Amino acid sequence: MMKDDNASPCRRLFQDDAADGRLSSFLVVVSVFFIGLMLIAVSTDPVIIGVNKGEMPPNITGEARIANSAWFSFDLYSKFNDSWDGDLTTDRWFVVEFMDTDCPYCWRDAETMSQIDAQFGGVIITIVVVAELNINGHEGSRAEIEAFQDKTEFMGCKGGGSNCADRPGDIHQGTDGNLFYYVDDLPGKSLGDWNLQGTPTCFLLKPNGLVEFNSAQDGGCDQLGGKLYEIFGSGGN
Amino acid sequence: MDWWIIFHISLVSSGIVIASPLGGRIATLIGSSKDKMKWLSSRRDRLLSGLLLVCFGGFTVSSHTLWFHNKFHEMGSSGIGCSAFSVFDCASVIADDKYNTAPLLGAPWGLIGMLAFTMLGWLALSVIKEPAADWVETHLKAGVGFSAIGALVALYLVYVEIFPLDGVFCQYCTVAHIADIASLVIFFKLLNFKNEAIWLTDGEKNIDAKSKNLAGIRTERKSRGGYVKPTTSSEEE
Repeated sequence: MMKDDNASPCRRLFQDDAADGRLSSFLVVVSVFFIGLMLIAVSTDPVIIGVNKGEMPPNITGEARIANSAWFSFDLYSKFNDSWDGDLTTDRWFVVEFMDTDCPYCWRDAETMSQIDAQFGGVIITIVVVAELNINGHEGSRAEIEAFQDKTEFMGCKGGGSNCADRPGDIHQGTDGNLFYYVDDLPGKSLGDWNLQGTPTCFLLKPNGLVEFNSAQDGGCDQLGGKLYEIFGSGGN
Repeated sequence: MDWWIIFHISLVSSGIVIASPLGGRIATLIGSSKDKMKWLSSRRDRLLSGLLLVCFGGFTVSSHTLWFHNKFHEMGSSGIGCSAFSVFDCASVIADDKYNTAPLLGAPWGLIGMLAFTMLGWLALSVIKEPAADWVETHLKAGVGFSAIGALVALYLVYVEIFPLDGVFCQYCTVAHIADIASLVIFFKLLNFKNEAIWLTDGEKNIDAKSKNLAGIRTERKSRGGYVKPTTSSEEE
């Protein structure tokens, strides 16, 4: 297009007939887009949902029980204290273990969980989420979960060939106020939500729910005791 | 009452009204011309102005859903509610990470909506700025294509609301879907209008007269089943 030679220099600053409308339009809409993004950024403070350290894990809901009792409905998020002030002594932390009653490593780690409960039961709540891995011989049931938790007679643990009463460790009933929950996740919903491929997988959550320890990133469930010792020293109980 | 949704609905519905035949009557009523409210003075300008308003409304409502998404992921966000008329509950939809995340991209649908309406807005604004440019038809075709893809996404999200989420609807998302479908229709109308010889003609009366003339020629051709000799040069297509 031809420029208007009669236009004053001042007007040319505002309107250049040779300019491409696509570029000026692009600048306008991109400005509006970033203004929108900035408004959202300054008015919200979201946490990332995930299972990496510092993230908020997905919720775990379903039926749960504590040792020698009936099943009841369970909601992990309802146990978090969103306004936790960071004081180690005011609220309990959460030890979460995903396990399968037929998995031999979970069988072995049952003793580790008992040891953690004995050492840190006064400052934690333990949540064992029992899933059923899609492997031959890993068929679980509520009866098997109960027997595994209570250490009672049931032939079917550790691949189906072991008596649940023989598993290592104590009855998982919790000490010093540690509510030792077993959550039924046999359909694998929570296992999927947490994007986990195998068991056992352990997590330590702060009282506000944020992930502090992830066994997949921190060297396995064996390191969980060391992490708790690092946080609480030997004064867990 | 949620006044924000009224704001978004007002923007989108104003755009739809302006782009509709009712917009022409309103323009006549208020006496818009080349000098007064030019953006209403011709059919092309009304379609483009209406489209821009619809895109802006879609952008603001998408931004609002992203804001809700972030708010739901803040610590202790359970107090935010956005339910209405018992069937609408944006919290159940937007807070659900499984469905409020675009597959493959992993971003919340609100952000995708913001980007989409920014792009549609750019296509519309660039045509407003340079209606005579040779890329106008390409932009209009791109607008039809992208908003058609958006309509498919809207269909998928409505399916999610009806089936996986058991009939819970998000009113903000619904406004965004309506804005996308409206922009598809307006882009389509603009593309058809562009193919008529009166695209660059200014002045409502001229345009209406020529449109009627052309429509008359087409009808006559159909009824006679052949070519009709133009009586004046202005009737030639």
